[in-house]
Amino acid sequence: MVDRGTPLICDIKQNSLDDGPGIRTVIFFKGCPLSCSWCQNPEAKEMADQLVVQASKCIECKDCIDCPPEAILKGPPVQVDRARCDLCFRCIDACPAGVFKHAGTPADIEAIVKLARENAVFYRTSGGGITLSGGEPLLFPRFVLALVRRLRAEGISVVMETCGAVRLSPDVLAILPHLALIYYDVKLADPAAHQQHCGAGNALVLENLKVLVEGGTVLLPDSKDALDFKKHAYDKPLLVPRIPLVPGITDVPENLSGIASALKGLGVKLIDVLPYNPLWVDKAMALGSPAHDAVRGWMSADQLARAREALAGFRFERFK
Amino acid sequence: MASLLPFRIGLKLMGLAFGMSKNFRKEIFNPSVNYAFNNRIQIQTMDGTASIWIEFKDGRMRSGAGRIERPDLVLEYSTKDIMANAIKYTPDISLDLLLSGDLEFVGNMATLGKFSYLTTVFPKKVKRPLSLSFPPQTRITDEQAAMKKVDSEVLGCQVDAVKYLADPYLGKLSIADFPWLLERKNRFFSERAEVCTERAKNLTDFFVAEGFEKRKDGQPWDASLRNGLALKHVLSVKAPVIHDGDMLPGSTTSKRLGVQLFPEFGAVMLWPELHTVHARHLNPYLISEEDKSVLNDHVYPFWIDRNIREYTRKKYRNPLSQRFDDKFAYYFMWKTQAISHTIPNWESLLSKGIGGIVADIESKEKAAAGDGQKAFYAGAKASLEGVLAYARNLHEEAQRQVDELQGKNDPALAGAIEDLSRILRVLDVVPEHPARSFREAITSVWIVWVAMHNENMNAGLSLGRLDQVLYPYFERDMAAAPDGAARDAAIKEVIALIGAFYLKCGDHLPLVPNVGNKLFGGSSSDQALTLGGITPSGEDAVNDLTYMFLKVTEMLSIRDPNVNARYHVDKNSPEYVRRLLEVNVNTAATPSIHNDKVMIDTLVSRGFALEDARDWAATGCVEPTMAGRHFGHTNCMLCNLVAPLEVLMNDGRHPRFHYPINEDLTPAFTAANYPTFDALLGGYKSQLAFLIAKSIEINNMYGTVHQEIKPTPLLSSLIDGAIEHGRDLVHGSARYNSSGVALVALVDVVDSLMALKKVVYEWKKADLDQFKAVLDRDFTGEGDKAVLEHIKHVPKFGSNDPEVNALAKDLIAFMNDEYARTKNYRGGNYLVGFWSMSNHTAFGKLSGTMPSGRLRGKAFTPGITPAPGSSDQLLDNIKTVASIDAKQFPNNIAFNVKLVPGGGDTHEQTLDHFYDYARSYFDLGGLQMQFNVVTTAMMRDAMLHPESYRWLMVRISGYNAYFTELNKDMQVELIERMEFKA
Repeated sequence: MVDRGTPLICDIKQNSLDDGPGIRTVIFFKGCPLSCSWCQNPEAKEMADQLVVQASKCIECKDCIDCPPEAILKGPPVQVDRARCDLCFRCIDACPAGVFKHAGTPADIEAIVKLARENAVFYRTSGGGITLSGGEPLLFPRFVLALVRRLRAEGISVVMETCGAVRLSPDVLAILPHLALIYYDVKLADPAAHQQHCGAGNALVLENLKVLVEGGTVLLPDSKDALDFKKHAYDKPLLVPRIPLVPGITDVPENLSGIASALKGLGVKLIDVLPYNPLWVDKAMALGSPAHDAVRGWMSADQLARAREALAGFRFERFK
Repeated sequence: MASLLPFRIGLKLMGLAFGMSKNFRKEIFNPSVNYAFNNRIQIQTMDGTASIWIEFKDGRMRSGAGRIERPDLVLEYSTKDIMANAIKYTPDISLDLLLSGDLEFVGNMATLGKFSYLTTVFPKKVKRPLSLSFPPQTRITDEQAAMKKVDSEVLGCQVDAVKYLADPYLGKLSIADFPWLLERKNRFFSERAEVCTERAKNLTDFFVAEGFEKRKDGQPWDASLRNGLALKHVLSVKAPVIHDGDMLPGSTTSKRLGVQLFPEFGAVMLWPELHTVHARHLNPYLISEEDKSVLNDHVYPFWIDRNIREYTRKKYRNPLSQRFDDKFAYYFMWKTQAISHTIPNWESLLSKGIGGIVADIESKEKAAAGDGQKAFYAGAKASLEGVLAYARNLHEEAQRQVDELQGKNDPALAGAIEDLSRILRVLDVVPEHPARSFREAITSVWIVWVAMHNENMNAGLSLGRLDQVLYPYFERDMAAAPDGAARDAAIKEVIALIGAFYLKCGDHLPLVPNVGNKLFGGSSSDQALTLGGITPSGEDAVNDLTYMFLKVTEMLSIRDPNVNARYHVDKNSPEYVRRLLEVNVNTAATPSIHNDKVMIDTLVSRGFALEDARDWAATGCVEPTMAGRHFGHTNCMLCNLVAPLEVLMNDGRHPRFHYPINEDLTPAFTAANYPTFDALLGGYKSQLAFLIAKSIEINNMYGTVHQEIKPTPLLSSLIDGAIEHGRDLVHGSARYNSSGVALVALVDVVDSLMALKKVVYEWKKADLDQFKAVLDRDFTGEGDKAVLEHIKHVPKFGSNDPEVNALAKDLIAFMNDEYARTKNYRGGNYLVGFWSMSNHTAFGKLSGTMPSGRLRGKAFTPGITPAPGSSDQLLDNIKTVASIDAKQFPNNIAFNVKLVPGGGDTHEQTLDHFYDYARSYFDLGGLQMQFNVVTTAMMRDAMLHPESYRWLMVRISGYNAYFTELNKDMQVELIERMEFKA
């Protein structure tokens, strides 16, 4: 596998309560092998840097309009002609209002370790730690391997959120033993639908899951209590499949029952379900890729109840 | 330009009215009570171009254009236009002018109050009917529980030092199990506050009869003896009130919810409002015509020169440091209102009884060295005799009620007779003799508490560690119970008694004049109660009573007492802190939680003995007092740390003052004078040192006046050291004699200095002159928004940025050092803390636009809480506050966190999250933390529908308030606080 060098990081969220047990600091890697139409972090899809434009912050000072390729269009509000923009990023320094920013900044292992040390007391109290998310952290196996080794040496628990669509290279396999828990996305059961909505088929995703479970690389927890790292310790990473509910795409009963039967076949007891969240639409807009067809509302109680029914028989980590 | 003619005609008419109407004339001349308002008043513009004089002399009022010799009071208006309308101003408008700097006065503030009052008499300006925004409720449901999800965990094992409770959390009990408490709680929220003049009148009567400056026989008074005898009189004639169904006899005032008046302190502030206070928008008080007359004709005239503020003004000839205090914008000195931020020695009261304390005094008296000591002992004894007289009167009243009920021969009254008989049996013993049971102990505490609130203002007098103090008596009850069922019944009764005690603590309010409403407001009398922690010998002190107090705190969810919990990370159980957080979640605002281990280390580092430090308890808001042995006036002053910055930026002047603060010391605020950030920081520190020196100067002056006219003999009998030394506490006889300072708006100063450092000196986006011009325009000029945006990129206090933290630490150390330079007038140290009551709103309202980007008039941040937007990460806020060495906070801090449960979380998950944050903060060395668990949405709704939210309690900065009683600035400040999700 080609090592892609130093990855970019979109964001670090210091105290997430939604990305694994306890208080967790989440590192969002930039770049993903999939390209899901509903992606919650659209800024993390592309591996290369992008220009983020938050037009609502514009104070109309016009300090930015000396744009060399003349990609910035006079507002108000300010607009960027993405076809002309050559990503020179000069507008970032020119703008006093912070309208423009990089979509990612180079990852720095030492900075992450320093932050983890600062936050160690929160992790210890809460059974939390670091969560690697994205994008897809496993696109950068060498970097991630170095990072998780350092964190492990510091006694910091590491959780990873992965889409599963990466080859299980030796580097990737070397990472896994350093993880406490893996959230493993299973989005669509039908290969064609997966291809259509995620930009690639699901064969690799399902195959990897099978290999990890049947090869004994990971453990399947049977209840939420098993994830309490204040009480339990394991010699292998736990794996919890995660199903994002996207209205009309992944939440349809055929898909959920398809996923359910695949997971049950592997002996999965505990899953995590993520109801649809429409807040990503603004972020897509700021990257110049407006999501015209996106579902903009939150899921109704009915929709959630139907999903719950289709997934009967599993225990849920959080889905209520 | 307006003509002054209407003003002059108005004054002439006023003068005529005094001449023609006997009734009006009585307002300024009343020979029957030997009263004459004889004053010369000069009214003029600040530039002196227009002037009018008024003279009141023996019932006549004259006025004219021009100047008058030797005026008693000078009123200066900023412009002729504003002055021309002065006759039309209500006291409320005059107050606004005073606060905005458009009106200045030189002279006696009480005289100003009386003059302001006179303008409300002609014509009567209040025609509004009595405002009844909150109609009395008769509902018996617990409205609060209905609107909030109150859930309670059960703990199936005994933890800490618990011996008797099978479930320390008492999770199965709710207020529904105590119908009497529920009924009283609902009644509590329907009470309307009423001014009580009983104490003020009786005190004044005593001094009129016996003399104040001298005895009636012309001999000099010893102030201790004089005040002891005065208190004895006040308590002896105080009405003994036992309300229908009371478990505890006695009441702070003669009203159900009384506003207690202290004319020797700030009660004259109500003078201008006598005719309007019943109808004011915020916190109206009922007041009878008779009480108005008692105050206007009798009480206030007597105290016009004898209250602490004016006595000091006269003695020290209106020093600059006092004139700063008059403006509320620079600092606020509490000694004009109270000195009682301390905690009595309850152990001594309960184990000896008042009789035992009197015996101690008598044995010391025999060896008394001089007249001073003898007089002190005589005064202390007199004050204690007053307490006993009051208790006897309560006994008589209970007996009278029993007799009356028995006379009715109605079997349905048997319960009521038994309740009263029980009170009688208790009063046979306490407070004179040692207590033998929990009921006797808490009754003794309550009666003495009432007496103390008739000696010292109901502001900050605090209860200490009642879970410790009362435990031996609870244990006696447990030992006396023959079986488990009797024990359970006794436990329930103790809980009911604690509930009765809480409700009693709310039976009075401190006087809040309208200036208080505008600037502060919502504060109760801040009777802090402290639970948990460790014992003086270092053992886990969390006992059955700790958990029972917590249960009552949760069931009642009321403002008083102000519950503080000590949490010792090594000695107390995790289950205990989890329960503290559960109570905080369920009540939304209380208790505040203190890191016991760190606090004890801090106190020891400041010279308190270890075993005393281990016995600390919160006072007023959060300030530590070594209970029963420390007279530490822990809230002697609140200082506005932004004011020195404003003075620096305005070349030695403050925009709210029409006279200079220190022009001679202050180079003009120009780029040339402050070429580097270090030069600017040095300039700020000089201003800060000036403020600190002035604040110490005036506090020591006020303290000296307290020594002259307001010794406090009852309090002195109840705090270790005074009896032993034969000197009142105000003379420094307690074992510890510090003074506590609250420094307000540290965060705004740090953020402002950082903004100057980065934007001006490092990024060079504007030079100092340009930056100042931007501030003067309040960011409204062309291109100013860009400067504001640069400011937004400056790292803020709360982002855990090392550079910001270093600046904050440097300033905090400087403040500690400056206050350490001078001793207080009792020989003790000044101890520094960072909490703000509601003064961050008050000071903010009176301050201009700041380099931090905070706009003119907006509230500062409360306590040491990072500003909203400093970081979107709660962890950064927590780490920042915890990073500062708590040894720099000997008078504590208030760190507010608005944290609300995540939407779908269970009660258990919510508590897990609160626990994780709080425990981590304490493990990092954080000193104090308090959660507001009210959503922004609910507070917005409460602004729209106050009638549905009377119970809604919020944490301001160190104390709790009912949201609907707060002024709008304060409400907005709470809403704008950063809301984090748990």
